[in-house]
Amino acid sequence: MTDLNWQFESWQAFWQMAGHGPYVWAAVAITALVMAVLVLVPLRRRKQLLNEIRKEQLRARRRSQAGYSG
Amino acid sequence: MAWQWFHRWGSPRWFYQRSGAWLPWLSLSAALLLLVGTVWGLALAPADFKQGNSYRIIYLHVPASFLALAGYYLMAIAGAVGLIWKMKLAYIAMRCAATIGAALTFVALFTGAVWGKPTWGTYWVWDARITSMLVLLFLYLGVIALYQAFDRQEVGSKAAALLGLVGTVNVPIIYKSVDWWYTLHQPASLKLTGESTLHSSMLYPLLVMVVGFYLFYAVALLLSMRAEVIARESSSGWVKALAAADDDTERN
Repeated sequence: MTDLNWQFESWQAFWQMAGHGPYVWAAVAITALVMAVLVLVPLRRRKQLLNEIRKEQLRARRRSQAGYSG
Repeated sequence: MAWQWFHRWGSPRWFYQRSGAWLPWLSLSAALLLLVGTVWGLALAPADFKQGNSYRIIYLHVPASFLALAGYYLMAIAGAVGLIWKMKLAYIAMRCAATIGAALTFVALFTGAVWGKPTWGTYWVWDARITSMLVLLFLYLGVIALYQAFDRQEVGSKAAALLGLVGTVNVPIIYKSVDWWYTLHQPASLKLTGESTLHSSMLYPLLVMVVGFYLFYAVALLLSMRAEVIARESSSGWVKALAAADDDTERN
């Protein structure tokens, strides 16, 4: 097994990665963004679809009630 | 008897209920592995003696590329199952896998480009591996486009499944491209058979990330299939009951 040591002396050094920071962090940012979208979009879509179906059911109920009274 | 599980798998309702039970566990383990793998790879693994810190992109680039390729097989097989058994759920899986595959292929190309700049001095080169990955992206986009190109859903699904099947010839080409045309992209450092060329201190976090990405893929696929099932089955009784019963829509 290998030793696990923190490879950077400071947060500053971690951020800069000896000059490779922009490349590494750009890769991290885009990957995280795409993965978040892949999870959040279908979650929201399912919620919206179920909401629409429920609204349609409420509308139908109101229509049938209005039919009886008037 | 033996066919019973197969028919149940074809039932959108059964799928929706089962996947709802699996998702919390899958999501939790995916998040945990991705967190551990990212911290390990970015901060704890040693820097590469030749490439320095830019090599850390491997912890995103390799898992994303693996899933872009494995996801293509999954999509093609789902399309074939749809063609042969006319299974609606299989076409739903194919369509959802196409979006996720295209997104992960984009991630593989992007992370490769920002890795290429400090390593090769260029963001892009028409190397065999990179070009065949670009073809993979276009195949995914082609499947999505064909699926939506027809008025009748059934025709679109069949056309997309056929394109997906024809496109599978590209996948072994991608795998072998680094050996057949040895140009710029380095050969595989992770091997199923034989020694990996990575030192264990770099290999273990990579394996954690690969497993994490596989679990993430499962989560993303199930989530988008569940939404698609609701969209397609919106007029069926069980979906109506689900919408009516579920005020916060958070439960199954």
